Amino acid sequence: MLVGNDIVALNDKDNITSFNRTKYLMKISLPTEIIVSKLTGIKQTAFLWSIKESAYKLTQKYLSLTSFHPKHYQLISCNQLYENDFQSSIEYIPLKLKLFAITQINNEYIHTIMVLNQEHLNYCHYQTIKYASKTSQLKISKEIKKTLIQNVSSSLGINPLGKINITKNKHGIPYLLSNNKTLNSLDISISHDGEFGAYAFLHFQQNQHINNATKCVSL
Amino acid sequence: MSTNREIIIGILKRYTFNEEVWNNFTDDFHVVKDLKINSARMVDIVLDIEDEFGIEISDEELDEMNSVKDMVNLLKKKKNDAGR
Repeated sequence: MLVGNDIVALNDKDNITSFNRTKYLMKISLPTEIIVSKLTGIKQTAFLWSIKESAYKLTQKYLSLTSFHPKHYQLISCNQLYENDFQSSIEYIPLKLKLFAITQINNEYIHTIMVLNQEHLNYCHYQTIKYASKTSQLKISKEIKKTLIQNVSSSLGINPLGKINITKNKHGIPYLLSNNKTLNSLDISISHDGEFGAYAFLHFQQNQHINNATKCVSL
Repeated sequence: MSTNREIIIGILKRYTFNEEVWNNFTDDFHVVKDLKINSARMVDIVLDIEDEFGIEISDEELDEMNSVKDMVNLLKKKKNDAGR
C-alpha cells in the first residue's frame, strides 16, 4: 500500500522560468503522450512533471529505483472529475506497470497523489498547506512533517507526543517510526515547493480526505 | 579559461538556494541529495549543459549525471566519442 505525492508551486519564479523553456516539455514528455488540452500555459508542463515525479516517488519505493527518468513514465489517460480535480492513469513503461493518480489543480499549485491500485485512491489522506511567503524550505519541511504526524496519529487513534517520528532511509525516502520501530503498515509521502507543503498517506480504516482545500499557515 | 568542472559548478550554483550546501563540497556530492537542488531543476541543468557545451544528453545518460564528477566524466566520454 504505497503512495507518492508531489506538489508544484505555480507562482514560484524558478518554476515559471523552467516550465516556460520550450525544451523542458520535450525532455520530460513522450511523442505518444496525451495532452491535457484543458490546461494552458505552464500548467501543462507542471502537471506532467507533478504526475511523473509522484510516480517516480512511488516506484522508487516499490521497485527500489535509484534514478528518475521522466520518459519512463507515460500519461495514458486523464479525466476531469470536478473543477479542480483530475484523475489519471500512468504507465511505468519498462515493466508495463499501471499507476493511478488524483491531481488537484488551481491557480496556485498542482498537487498529485499516486497509488498502485485505483481503489486505493478512496483511502488517500492528503493535505496541502500554504505557508507565509518568506518561510524557508527547511522550515516548511519541518512544519509539514509535524502536521503529517498529527494527522497520522489522529487516524490511528493515538497520542502523537513522542510516539511517532519521521525519519529517512539511505535513499532519502521518508518513513514512519512508532516507538522507534518502523511503521510498515502506513506509507507516507512528503513534498514541498515554493510556499507550499503537502503530504499523503494511505489508511484503510477511515475513508476520508482530511482536507481537500488549501490551508494557510503563518509562521 | 574555465575548465569543464568550473562551468558545471557555475551551472549548479544557479539552482542552489542555500550557500551552506557548498561547505565541504566534493565532486562526489549528489546533486539532489547533497546540494539540495530541486529535482525539477535537474532538467534545467541538463538543458544548460547541453546549451553550454553544444551537446545532446540522452535519457540513458541521465544516470551518469548524479554528481559533478559524473558530469565531467560524461563530457569527457562524449568528447572522446565525437573524436573517434
